[in-house]
Amino acid sequence: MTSTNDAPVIEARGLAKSYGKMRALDGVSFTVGAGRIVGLIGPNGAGKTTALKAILGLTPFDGDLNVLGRNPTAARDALMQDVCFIADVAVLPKWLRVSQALDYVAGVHPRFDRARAEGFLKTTDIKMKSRVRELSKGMVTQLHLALILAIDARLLVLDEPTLGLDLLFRRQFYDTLLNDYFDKDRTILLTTHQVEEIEHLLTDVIFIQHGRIVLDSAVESLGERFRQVVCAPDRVEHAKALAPFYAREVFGRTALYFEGRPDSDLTPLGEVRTPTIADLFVAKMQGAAGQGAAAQGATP
Amino acid sequence: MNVLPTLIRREFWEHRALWLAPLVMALLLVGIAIFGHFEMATMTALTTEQARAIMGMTVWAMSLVIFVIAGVVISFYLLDCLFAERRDRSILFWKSLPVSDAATVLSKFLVAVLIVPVAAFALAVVTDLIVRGILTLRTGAGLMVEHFPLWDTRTWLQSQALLGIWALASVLWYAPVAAYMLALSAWARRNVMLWTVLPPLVLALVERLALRTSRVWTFVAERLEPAFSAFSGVEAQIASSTVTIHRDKVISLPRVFEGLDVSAVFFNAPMLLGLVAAAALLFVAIRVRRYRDDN
Repeated sequence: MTSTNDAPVIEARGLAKSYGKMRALDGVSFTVGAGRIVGLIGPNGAGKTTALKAILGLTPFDGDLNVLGRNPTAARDALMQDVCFIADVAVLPKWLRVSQALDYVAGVHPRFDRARAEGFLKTTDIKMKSRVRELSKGMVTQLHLALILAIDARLLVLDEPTLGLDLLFRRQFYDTLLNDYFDKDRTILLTTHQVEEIEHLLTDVIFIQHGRIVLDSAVESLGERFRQVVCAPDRVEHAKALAPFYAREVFGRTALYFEGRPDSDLTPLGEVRTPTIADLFVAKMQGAAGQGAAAQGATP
Repeated sequence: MNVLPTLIRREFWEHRALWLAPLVMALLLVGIAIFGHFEMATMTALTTEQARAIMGMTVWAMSLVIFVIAGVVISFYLLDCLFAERRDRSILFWKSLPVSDAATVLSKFLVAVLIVPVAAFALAVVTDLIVRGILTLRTGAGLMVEHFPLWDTRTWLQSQALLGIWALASVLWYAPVAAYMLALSAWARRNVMLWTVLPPLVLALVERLALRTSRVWTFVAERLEPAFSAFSGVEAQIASSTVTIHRDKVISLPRVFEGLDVSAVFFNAPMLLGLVAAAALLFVAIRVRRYRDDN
C-alpha cells in the first residue's frame, strides 16, 4: 500500500495511563501510517478503549503521542477537524431528529458534505423527520455512518462500531466503509470483538493485552512470521520440540503455532498454513497467559 | 458553518421546555383575557398617580408570571444540560466534532442568561399588548372596568423599561448561580440538584455548629434574593416610590423608573464580584467538561 504522506498519522511512544492502581496502558509504542486500516485487537479491559481515548484527546495520559502532527490533548479542537470517531454504538442522543443531526454537523464542521450524507441516507429506510429513539439500532449506526462518511477527515477511529448489530448490518457497515470512504489518504483505526469479520479488510493488526502490545504487524507479513501446523497425534511430540508458542486440540488433531520457523522445519509435521488473525489472536492471548500447550481454544 | 447559532439551536431542540413553557403560559394569559370573567366595577375615581401605579402593577403581574416560568425552566436546564449528555453518553458524539468545550459551555450559558431571558421579555411585552387589546375590545362589549386604567402609553413604556432593567439586573445578579449550576451539571455523577444544594447547606451547618455564626447562610440567602432588593440603595428608592390607594400602599413602577439610579443597579460591589465569580465558575465548568472521563 502506498501512502501520499510519509509522516505517520499516529505516533505513540511509551503511552501510559492508570486508573487508580490499574494500569490500563503500560508503556505502549506504535506507529500508524497514512492509508492503513489498523485493527486494535484485545480482550475486554486490555486497554483498547483507553488507547483510542488518548488518541482522541479525551483522556490525559503519560508518554508521547502525536496524531496528525498534533498533541491530541493540547490541540484537541483543531485535531477534531481532521479526525472522526464513532466511539461506540448508540451515542447519538435519543431526542435528535435525523434532519437536526444533519443541520448540526453542517453547522459546526467545515468539511461536512451535506448532500453526500443525504445521498447515503436515501439508500436506507431512515426518514428525515424521525428521532433517533424511533430508529432501530442498525439504523442509528447507519445514520452515524452517514454523518461520518460525509466528513472529509484524514483519520477515522471506530471503537466497536458494530457491537450489537445483526450480521446484515455489520456486513453492510464494513462494505460501505471500504467502498465509499476509504482511500489512500485516509486512515482507519478500529477495535472490534468480531475479528473474523474484519480480517479481510485490515492492513495491519495490533494485539494488546494487559495494557501492553503483544503483536504489531502488517497483515501481509504475518504469513512470513507465523505458521500454523495441524498434526496428527503421533507427530505432536516432535512438533512440541520445536517450541510452538501455543497449541490446541481440534477434533483429535493438534494445531500448533510457531513464530519465525521456516516451512522446511514444519512441513514434515503436518499441514502448514498461515493462521487466520482470529486464530493468531487466540494463540497469542492464551500463549501469553501462560496456559501454553494444554490450553483449550476460546473465541475472541 | 455557523457554529454559535447552531450550538444555540441545538439547545432548543433538546430542551423544548425552554420555549414551550413560557409560550404555554403566555397563551394561558391570552385565554384568560378572552374567556375570563372580570369584575372591577366598584373602584372609585382615581388620581393620575393612582391610575399610573395600578397600570404599573398590571404590567408587572403579567410579566412576572412569564418571568417566573422562564426562571424555573432555565434552572432545570442549567442543572441538566451538561449532565444529560454524560448520562446518555451522547457527549462522545458531541466531542467527535470540532467544537471546543469552551464553545459548548458558553453556548449553554448564553442560552440561560441571554437568549431565553430576552425571548421571555419580548414574549411578556407582546402578551401584555395582546391581553390589553382583548380587554379593551371586551370593555366595549360590556366588560365592567370603570375607572380601571387599561392604557396609558407613557406609563406602559416606563413600566416595561423598568421591568427590562430589572430582568437584565436579575440575569447578571444570578449569573454566578447559573455558572455554579453548570459546573455541577458537568461534574456530578448523579442527582445534580442534590449536589447543588448540599455544599452551601453543609457549609452553613458546619459554620453554625463550629463558630455559632451564619455568614455562609447570609451570603447564600442574599445572592438568592431578587436583584433589586439585594441593592440597598435601589431598595430604599423603591420603598419611597409608593402611592396610597384606599388604605394600601402600592409600589408605582412608573415612579420607580423615574427616580431610578441605573448605575447603582449595575455598578455595585456585590454585582461586580458576582460577575467575576461567574467567570471563574464558567472556567471550572469548561475544565470539568474537558477532563471528566466517565464514559
